[in-house]
Amino acid sequence: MENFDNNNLIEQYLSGELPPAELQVFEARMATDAEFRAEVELQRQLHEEFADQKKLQLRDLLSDMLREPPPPPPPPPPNNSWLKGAGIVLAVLLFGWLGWYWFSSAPENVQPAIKEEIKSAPPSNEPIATPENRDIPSDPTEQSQDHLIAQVDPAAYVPNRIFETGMDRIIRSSDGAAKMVSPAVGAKLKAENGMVKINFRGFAPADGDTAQFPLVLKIFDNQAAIDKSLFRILPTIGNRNEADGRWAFSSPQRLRLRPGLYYVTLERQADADLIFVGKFSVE
Amino acid sequence: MEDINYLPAILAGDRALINRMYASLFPFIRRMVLDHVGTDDDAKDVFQDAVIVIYEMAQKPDFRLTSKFSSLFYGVCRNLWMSRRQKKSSSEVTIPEHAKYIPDDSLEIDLLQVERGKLFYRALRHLGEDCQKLLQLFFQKRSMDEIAREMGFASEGYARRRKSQCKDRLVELIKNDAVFPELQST
Repeated sequence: MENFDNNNLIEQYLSGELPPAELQVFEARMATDAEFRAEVELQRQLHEEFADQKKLQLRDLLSDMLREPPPPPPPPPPNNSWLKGAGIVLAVLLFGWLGWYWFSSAPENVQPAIKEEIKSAPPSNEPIATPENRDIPSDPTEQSQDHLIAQVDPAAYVPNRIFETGMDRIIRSSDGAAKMVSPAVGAKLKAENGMVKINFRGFAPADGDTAQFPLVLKIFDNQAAIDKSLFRILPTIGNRNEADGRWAFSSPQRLRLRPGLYYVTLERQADADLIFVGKFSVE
Repeated sequence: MEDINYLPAILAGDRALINRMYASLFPFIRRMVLDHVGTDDDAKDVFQDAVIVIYEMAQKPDFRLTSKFSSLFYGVCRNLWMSRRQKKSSSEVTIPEHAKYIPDDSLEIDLLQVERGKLFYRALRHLGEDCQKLLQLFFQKRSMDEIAREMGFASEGYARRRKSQCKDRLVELIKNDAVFPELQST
């Protein structure tokens, strides 16, 4: 019976229907009786949680749905389809060119740029190393020491239409896009003993999309398709710039690159969304 | 990640669209959780909680969806999982300050409120059917007279006593849950 009375009292208080005299007594009791105060707080939270019938139904729906394994994903929307289509066209052209090249020139002993994955240190805000970021950053210098033939091939500098188009598009809609500080777009870099030092640095936008870190930097030569990168680098995510809200990223690398034109893209790993395309050349 | 705004579906409780959202976004959430030492069940928990968090966010008058829905959803899931994992880890080992996960404050997720909401729901669904129905009517602020009629009770007085019993039982279930002390002490 005491609880019944307490319940009624608390409900009257929560609905603002307690007469002034009783309200004074009630508040005095709350001030001195911690257990009673906690009881009132719990009842207030219950009212707050269950007042919304729709939320309760949503919880029921989710609870039912998540008992089952997820249904097969719907077909992907035609997002970035221009890139995919262009990639196919490029692949066809590339095969044609390779065929022509194979039959029209003597085979050269040129080592292609090394294809590998390079990982930077994990973002500093990760509490515990995960299997992915526990990897020790690989050192390209430990790779094959085969010599590159420093032979300048004009074909290696021919602009790639797909990447050039991608660059135009990203630059034109660059309000929220990422920015690469280094290497600057069009930078000319020098190779020393076949190795090029590049400190990839820049900023990525800090809207809700930044939650989808980590970022992936990919390096392509001028003849590659968009899905055939030479290098794949996970840059370190640094601090967030308070002024413009963007995140700094960086990744100093030494890459084995022969003279030619190269493209660099920045993607969010989670959704493979392309947020930057740039280029540089090696002389 | 597909770029469909599922917010209206969440607000309307549209089962078909939420199911589609489960199919298309859950694999990303699962990957993120598994990559950070979680399990399939953890991923499902995070998915479920994130839907409720976004539903609650959208109730605020100043809420505006300023990014892709998938980005917001992924961000909420990541914040939830990393905060939850950090809380669990910190009770077992001391995490150095520099290694702590700093949640995105702009998402304003109150982890305590998330856990409390789940606990309350779990307790409510443990009650008998009549108690559940009665309390739902009561929390929707229906009058005791209406509740008595809808529940087929003989009098308003009986409805009042029954409601008090059901609420006592609900509170008892909540207080007996292993999670309750954690929610109280913080």
